[in-house]
Amino acid sequence: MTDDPAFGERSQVLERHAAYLTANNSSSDSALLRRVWDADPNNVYFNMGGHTYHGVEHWSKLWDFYATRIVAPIGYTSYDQRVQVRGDVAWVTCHRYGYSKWIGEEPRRQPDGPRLSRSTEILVRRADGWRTVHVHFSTASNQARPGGI
Amino acid sequence: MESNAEASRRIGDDATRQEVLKVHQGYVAASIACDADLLAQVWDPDPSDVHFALSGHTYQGLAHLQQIYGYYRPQLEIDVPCEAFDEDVEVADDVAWVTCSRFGSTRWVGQTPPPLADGPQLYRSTEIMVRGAGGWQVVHSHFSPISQEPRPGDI
Repeated sequence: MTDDPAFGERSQVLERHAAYLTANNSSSDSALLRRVWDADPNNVYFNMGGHTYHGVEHWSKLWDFYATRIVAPIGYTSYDQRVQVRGDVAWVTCHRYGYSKWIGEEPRRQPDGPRLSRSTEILVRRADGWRTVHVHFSTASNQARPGGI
Repeated sequence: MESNAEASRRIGDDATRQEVLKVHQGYVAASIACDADLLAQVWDPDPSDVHFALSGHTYQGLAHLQQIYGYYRPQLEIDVPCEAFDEDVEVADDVAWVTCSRFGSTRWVGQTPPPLADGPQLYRSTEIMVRGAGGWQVVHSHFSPISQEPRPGDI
């Protein structure tokens, strides 16, 4: 039990965050993705490849492309999650670890091996629950921070 | 029944969006000049706020950011000041987020090995802001490089 009134909301948001990772780790499950992400085609999504996509349809096509070209012996696991809820908006930041390998016939689009990344997700509360309206994924550095900070 | 977030997005209050854009522009100006005082005017003081830097590093709280500005300021020459474009501003109640692309060019003149590549840089950013008693302040930002390669899969 907890006395924190926001505990339940944060749990719901974290469940959505976890569902995205499950969708990503399950051979890029677009059907599950559509249950997590918002349907507005104007939503902006920044992927780890450095490209920008608009709307869940774009992202689903990207997953369809990668589904037969990447295998992930170690699916994404997130850690250092920080969940904030303000009214009908929530955001989750975290670090992620995964291991993937390119098996496509085309030149590889990403290096094989372990990947350390950072993630920002913004969700809004719709009539049917929390939906992701923006993500920003990027590669994390494993070098020491400059300036001795 | 629609949520407040849906209502706020549809209404698109121009005055509020302008307030948010002003803070975004203040943040851009602070980062160009590595101006720690200007940064303090737009960044929330909560020491647990997370910043994902363009270098791939994670920082927490305003003090961290001010330290990194202090480190960069004497060692970074600006050839082309950073400019933001393709800004998208969303506001829902007391939370706002701004996404955009950015272009700038810097050169490392420090004595230590450069932590960033010299030359033109195209990158994107996400800023999340919260409206408090003193107005809008940034509580999270995430910067990362933009790829100039075509998107895979003909999307």
